[in-house]
Amino acid sequence: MIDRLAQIAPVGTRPLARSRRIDNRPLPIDLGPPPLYHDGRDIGREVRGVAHVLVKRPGRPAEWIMADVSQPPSGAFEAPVAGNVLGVALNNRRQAEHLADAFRAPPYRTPPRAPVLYIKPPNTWCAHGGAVPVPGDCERLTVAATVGIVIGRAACRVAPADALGHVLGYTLAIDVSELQDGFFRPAIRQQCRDGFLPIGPWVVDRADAPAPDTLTVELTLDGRSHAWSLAELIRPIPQLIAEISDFMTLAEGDVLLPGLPAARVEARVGDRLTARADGLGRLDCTLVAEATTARRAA
Amino acid sequence: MKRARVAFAGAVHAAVEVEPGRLRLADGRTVAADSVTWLPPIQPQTIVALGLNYADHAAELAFKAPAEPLVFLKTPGALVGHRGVSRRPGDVRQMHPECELAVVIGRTARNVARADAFDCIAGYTVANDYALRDYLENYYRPNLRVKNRDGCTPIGPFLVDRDDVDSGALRLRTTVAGKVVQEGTTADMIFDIPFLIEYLTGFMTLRPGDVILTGTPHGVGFVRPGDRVVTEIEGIGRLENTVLDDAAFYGAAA
Repeated sequence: MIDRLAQIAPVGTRPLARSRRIDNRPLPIDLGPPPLYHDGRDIGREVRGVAHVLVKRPGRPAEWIMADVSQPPSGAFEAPVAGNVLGVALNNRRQAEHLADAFRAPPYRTPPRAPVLYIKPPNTWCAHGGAVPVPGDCERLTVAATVGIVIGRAACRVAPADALGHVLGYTLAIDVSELQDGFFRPAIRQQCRDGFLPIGPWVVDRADAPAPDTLTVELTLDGRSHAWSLAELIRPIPQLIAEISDFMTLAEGDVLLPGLPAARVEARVGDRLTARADGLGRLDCTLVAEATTARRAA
Repeated sequence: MKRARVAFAGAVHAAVEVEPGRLRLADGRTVAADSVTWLPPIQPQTIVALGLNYADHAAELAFKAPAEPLVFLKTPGALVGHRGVSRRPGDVRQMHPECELAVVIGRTARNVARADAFDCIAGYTVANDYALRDYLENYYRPNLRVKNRDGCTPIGPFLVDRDDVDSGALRLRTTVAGKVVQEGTTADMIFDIPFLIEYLTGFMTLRPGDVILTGTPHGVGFVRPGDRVVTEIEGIGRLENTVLDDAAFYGAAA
């Protein structure tokens, strides 16, 4: 089953070729139990066409392959990121309406002018099927499902009309954070704990993915479902890529999370989370209590 | 040891300083420092930066010294090497240099106690964490448009080995077109290096090559196109950068 992966011929586009992670510093680091292997599970049933998969096979470094994932291949899927992950906060129209008064009050006084960006660094990446370690001091956790726009060709000062031409494809992500009590200061301690960005399982090639502008993303936990639509984005994806690439290059392998849902969803240790979107498949993770004692000796 | 990454004669090399003005490449060649293109001496994936980490600078910006470190992140595309250029866009008036001691991580670090902090440091370099204050907004401030612009974080020239220097009381200085605009000492950090490593690794894993920019002292001096900006830290290095306007940067003035 595992060997079947290697035999699938690349179609259309090339996989992400460069990843420093693969070269010298494999991830994840200390993120708890290893990701699940998926024999015959239906996580890719709805995916039509080709996905780019960063797959780890026993005894070998992780490697990018392209595969038809509608019949799910075996293998441990690593987080399919080869660069930086950049998120956009406050880009949801319903959320902005809700916050309109807060935007006028101190210290904000005026609504955001430029995209409000945050970084999810490599220590936060968690592969499909992985366990998100929740530290004991995290009392309230928020979780939000979104899509990841994966850059395939470096974008620097691109026009909106050209932006999607720089996109390799789309993946799923669950943005985990401690509850933030505002947006004044960067929330690094809240957003950037180890494993706080489950992402994957793969990157569905743009040619084979549905148009993202009205895509519905669904988060399921504890038997409840929370859905939102990318139609709620204030700035659509091409405009985000244009405005961001005006001052920072989006490189091959970078991932942009274009927005988050308006409604806050809280989660706790023990919850199993699933993100879904039509045509992109399914991303699973579990929140577990972080084992702290082992690391104190470092 | 002072370590650099340079481009020379069509290839990228690791290099060490053999004497001021002379570098030895990894392949054994000794070359004049003037003959190389300097690259950032490190290739981090995660760049952590500190705001308001010197009491005098916080007072100058009319902020109370923070009770918890003000941390923000940057991406590697912001870095540019010694003697590189940084662009001041046409709509910007308030671009100011910030001389910062950069602490480079040497091994995977999580939950590191204060007392063990220096064990996970590889060394130090100099960074100039330019801020383009015209773009400041009060959302995740300082926002990326201010602090994470392509090529607007000069770093280098050298990675200096940790044991070659005592980082606790080093003088920092910035000059713009020859005029001193910033002076301070690392002894005035609000949160010192061991504290920062304990604090950061208390919630996130740092890995070899990652870097912490430890904040900047008193002195806000704006730069203009054409200015030569030098950020210098005693015992670590002297980092040069030239500010260009859009026309010079994109070549229209050539």
